[in-house]
Amino acid sequence: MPRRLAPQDIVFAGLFVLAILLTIGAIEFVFLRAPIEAHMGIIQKVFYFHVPSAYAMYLGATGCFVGSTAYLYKGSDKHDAIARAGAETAVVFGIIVMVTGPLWAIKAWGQYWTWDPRLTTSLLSVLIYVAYMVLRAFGGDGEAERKFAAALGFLGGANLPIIHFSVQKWSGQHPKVIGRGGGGLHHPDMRIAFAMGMIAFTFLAAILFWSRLRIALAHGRLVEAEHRAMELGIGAQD
Amino acid sequence: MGDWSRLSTGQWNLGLELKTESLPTMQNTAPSGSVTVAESPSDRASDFRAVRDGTELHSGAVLLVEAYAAIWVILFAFVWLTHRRQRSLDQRITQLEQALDKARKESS
Repeated sequence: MPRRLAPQDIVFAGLFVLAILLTIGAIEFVFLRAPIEAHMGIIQKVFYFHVPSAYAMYLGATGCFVGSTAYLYKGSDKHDAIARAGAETAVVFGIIVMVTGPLWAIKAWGQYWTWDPRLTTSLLSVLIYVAYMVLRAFGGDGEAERKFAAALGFLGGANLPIIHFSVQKWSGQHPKVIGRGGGGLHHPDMRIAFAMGMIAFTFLAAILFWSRLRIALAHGRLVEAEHRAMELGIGAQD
Repeated sequence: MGDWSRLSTGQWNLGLELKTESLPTMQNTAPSGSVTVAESPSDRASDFRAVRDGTELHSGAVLLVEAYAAIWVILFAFVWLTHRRQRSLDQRITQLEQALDKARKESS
């Protein structure tokens, strides 16, 4: 008899299909519809993936911040799993930002990297989440390690507004096109391509976060089952 | 004040040549297309000419493809790491199941 799909499986499948369709739509708009930018040329099309990746990093980092804060307050496994999944999502999209940005910069600025405030704070943020992952992977899974990781997750979250407002407060070379003070996207197809990129990366971040969350929760249940088994004198795990 | 009339008469040629030699990057990465160079040092001092039919120093199209490829390589690497983590969990579940089976047999 076929197993009935749980509601969460149906939601996940829906998100997955939407992410695929939106990614295909974004690719079509970015490469075939959106016009080439007048000053920078074709390399400006990196923008349609670079900015959504940064936004997806923010989403993951926010998940980590919420999970870490809740873990420091309540100390439940579920919140620890949310923080861990958020940090992993933030690292993936943070690495994408850190790779696509310099490839754009070498064309636009003539160099891969400058110690611009936004670049520096973004790099710092990615390094915080890399440190979080390294700590969780090699630092053990005890209460002290979890709390220390939660403190890192909290610190990473506190860095987010600094990244966001660094361009306004300290100027720098990094362009500001979207939002207050930005010149905006002048062509309608540019706006559509950007919107599709943002939505596609939101769904992509959601499914990556969810899949890592389920693994983290399953890991927590397994550890619990192993401890119970050991208490009953069954097996010797780890 | 400097005597700018010397610029057009070629009296500053030596200085201009040294400046040109101090830009090895531009010389080394010269495009493969036909290049129009000044006839003499005095020409280099008085006008600048563009490279004709040359390629860009950094092709925007190539950089765009590299950036786009990097995105998918990173995402696939993440999927691979997720798979490895799932496999690790599977192994531990299998060990636990075997231990439970063993305990059940011993108790019966």
